[in-house]
Amino acid sequence: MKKYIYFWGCQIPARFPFMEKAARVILEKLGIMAEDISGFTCCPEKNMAQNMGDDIWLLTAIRNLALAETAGGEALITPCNGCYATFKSAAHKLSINPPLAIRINKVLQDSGLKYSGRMQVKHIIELLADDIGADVLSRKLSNPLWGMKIAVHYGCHLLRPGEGGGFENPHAPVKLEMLVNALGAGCVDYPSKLFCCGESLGRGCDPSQALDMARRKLL
Amino acid sequence: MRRQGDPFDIPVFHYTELLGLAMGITPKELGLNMHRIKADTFLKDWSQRSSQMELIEEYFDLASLKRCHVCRACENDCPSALNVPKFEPQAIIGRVLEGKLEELLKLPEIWNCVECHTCVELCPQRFGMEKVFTILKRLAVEQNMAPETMKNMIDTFSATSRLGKPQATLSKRLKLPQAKPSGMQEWRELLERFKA
Repeated sequence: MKKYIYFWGCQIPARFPFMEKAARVILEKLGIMAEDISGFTCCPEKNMAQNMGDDIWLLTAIRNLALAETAGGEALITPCNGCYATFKSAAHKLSINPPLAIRINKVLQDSGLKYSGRMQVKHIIELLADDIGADVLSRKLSNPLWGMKIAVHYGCHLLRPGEGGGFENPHAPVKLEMLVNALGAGCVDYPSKLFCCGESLGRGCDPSQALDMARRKLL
Repeated sequence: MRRQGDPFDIPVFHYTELLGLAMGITPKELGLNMHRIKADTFLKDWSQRSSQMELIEEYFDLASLKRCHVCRACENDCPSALNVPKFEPQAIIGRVLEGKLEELLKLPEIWNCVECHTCVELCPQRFGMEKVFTILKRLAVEQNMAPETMKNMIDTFSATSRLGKPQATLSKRLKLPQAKPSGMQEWRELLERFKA
C-alpha cells in the first residue's frame, strides 16, 4: 500500500478538531493507514502568503511537500480545501518551470530536504472518490442515510484553479454528490452550489460582507 | 477669443505634430514652442502618464490587462461583485490602466476579491482578473496599507509559522493524538537562506 502522510493544516486542529477525528476514524475503518510527521508549517494560505510575495508562498508550500517526501511519503492526505489548492498549485508551478524547481531544491538541500515532484497530493474527498470509490463505500455501510436530503458545498479551492488541480471539471463537478448518494442519501441541487462561501471576505473587508455571501448560499 | 476674454487654454496640434511626438521627435525639433497656446501642459501631462505607464508595466501584463478591461466575460459570475455592489472589478482595472495605482492601494474594495478563481476558469485569455487584485493587495501590504485583519494574519504566520494553535483540550476529548510540532525554526532559516 502507498505510504500516506496526513496534512491537517492550521484551521482543522485549531477550530474543527472533529473533522480530524472523522477523517482518522473512517480511513482506519477503510484500511488506509496514514502517518503524522513533525515539522509542517501552515501550507501556507495562498490568499495571505501571496501578499508577502510569491517566493514565501511557494517555498513554504514546497518545503512541506519535501518534508513528506523525505519521510518516505508517496501521497499527502488533506481534508482542507485551502491546503489542497496551495499544494496542487505550488507543485504545478514547479512542474512547468524546471529552473525554478532547481533553484528551490538548492535551498532545500541545505536543510537536508529534497522535492522531486513525485509526492501526490490527495484531498480526502478525492481519495474516497478516486482511490476507494463510491461503490466500495456503499458496501461498507451499516446505517445508510436513507431518505436524507443533503446539499453539498464543494468549496472553491477543491475545484479551482482547474489548472494544476485536477480534482474534476471545475464547472460541473459530480464526485462529492456521487459519494453522498453512495450513503443512501439524496442530493438537493441548488443554484448557488458552486458559489463561494465568502470566508476570505472576513480577512480584508467588513466581516458583514462575508456573512452576506454565506447567506446567499444558505437561503 | 482670448482677446474677448474667453478662458480657453487648450493646446492645438496638427495631427502630424502628434505623430511626430509619438515617433520620438523632440518637441524642440518640431518647433512646438512656436505655438501661440503653449503646448507645455500637454507635454507635462504626457510625460507623467508615460512614467505611470512604465510603473504599471513593471507589475502588470499590459496587453492582457487591456483585453481584460473590455472583455467582462467573468464579471457576472464574480461572487464578490454579485454580493457587494460597490465592488466593481472592471472599474478598478480601468483605473489601473489610467495609472491610478496610489489611490487604488488605499481602496478597501481591492480586498473584496476572494481569490475563488472563478474568473480564471472563465477567462477566454486564461488571464483571470484576480491577478490584478493579487498584485494590488501585495503592493498594499508592501506599503503597509493592508487592513488590520490581514496584517494580523501575516504577523501570526510570520511569528508562529501557522495560523492558529491546535486545540489541546478538544483534541484530548476526541482522543486525538497530540499534534506534531511545527518546524518553525527550520522554516525561518530556509526563508532567510532563500532571500540571501
